[in-house]
Amino acid sequence: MSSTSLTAPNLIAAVLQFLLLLFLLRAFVYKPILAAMQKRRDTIAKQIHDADGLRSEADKLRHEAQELVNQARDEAKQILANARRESDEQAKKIVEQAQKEASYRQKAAIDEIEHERDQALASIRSQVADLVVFAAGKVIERNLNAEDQARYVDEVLKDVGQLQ
Amino acid sequence: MNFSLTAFQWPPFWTGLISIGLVLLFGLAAARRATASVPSGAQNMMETAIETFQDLVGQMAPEALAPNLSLLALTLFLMLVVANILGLLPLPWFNGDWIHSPTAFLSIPAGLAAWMFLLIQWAGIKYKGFGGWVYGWVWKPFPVIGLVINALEQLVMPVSLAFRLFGNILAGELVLRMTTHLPHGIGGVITTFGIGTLWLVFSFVISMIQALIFTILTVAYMSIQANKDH
Repeated sequence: MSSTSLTAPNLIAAVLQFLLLLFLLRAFVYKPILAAMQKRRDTIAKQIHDADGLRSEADKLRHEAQELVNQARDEAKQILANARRESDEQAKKIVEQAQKEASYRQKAAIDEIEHERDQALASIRSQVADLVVFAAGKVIERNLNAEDQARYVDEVLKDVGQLQ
Repeated sequence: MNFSLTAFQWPPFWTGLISIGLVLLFGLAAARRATASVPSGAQNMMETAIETFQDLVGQMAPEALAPNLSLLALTLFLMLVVANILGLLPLPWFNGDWIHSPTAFLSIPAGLAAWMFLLIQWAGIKYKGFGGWVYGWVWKPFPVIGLVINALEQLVMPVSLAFRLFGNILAGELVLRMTTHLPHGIGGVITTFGIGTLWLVFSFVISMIQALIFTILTVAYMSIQANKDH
């Protein structure tokens, strides 16, 4: 027997050795390793899927936040405009009221002045009457002639009339 | 070359067992802490090997055959690589010689090739149906004459497979041993060392290439047989 001999039992033994190795490797090596590879593939696929979901959710949240900011900005603008308009109105009202009060006070002052003047005229009139009486008494005392008396009364009356 | 139905050669049997034992040790080291997270060391190598053969076989074989065939091809390749390289290692054998590769005995590549021949025919029957398989044998490429052509082609295939592997490995070992018989003395040491080392590197490469060729051709023949177009 040499290395170039074909021996039937060795042919079969070689095949059996190969089949034994195939069986053992499949059972104890390929199976767990292939399972691990499959599991890793699944895990990676799941992680990619999860990442996609998270990204879309983040996009949605960002969009919502942007909307809220825009809304708040609009509201602030509106509030500011309202406040400005209200303050303008208030200022106008105050000025109007001040003008009204001023004109009222002016009128009241004029009324009071007129009243005072009337009172003063009335008191002057009564004093003139007293003066007339007093003057008449004096005239009578001095014994006037008829011409002088007439002229004197006329003068007095004229003065009194000017006073009115 | 002679043939015997009863004689048994022990050396290739033992070295064959050593080969599958080494492959199994490597495989178990790879699968011992098989993890679905980040793989390391032996597991990484085994995963790379599995994926490489899945790609390789996936390009040729029908889809239904590919997963099993890729594992069979990987097993065959790993066993042949270890078996081929075994004869290049400086390990002493019981008869005073250095260790021989199991594939340096014609019976072992011949047995494997014969087994692959049967597997290939089985794949033909399974994927083309028995009628389709017979039709392919007898009617292609010409009616009836096809049988002669196919018989030649199909029988030459395992024979060439066996002799190619056996011849390459045996030649590698023989030439490596011859380098130790170069002239003695200082010059002999230098030539032995230089030529021996060169030949050792060359044989290492040849060992792996032949393992790959045996595996790839088996996959190719099986894919051709299993394909409905042929």
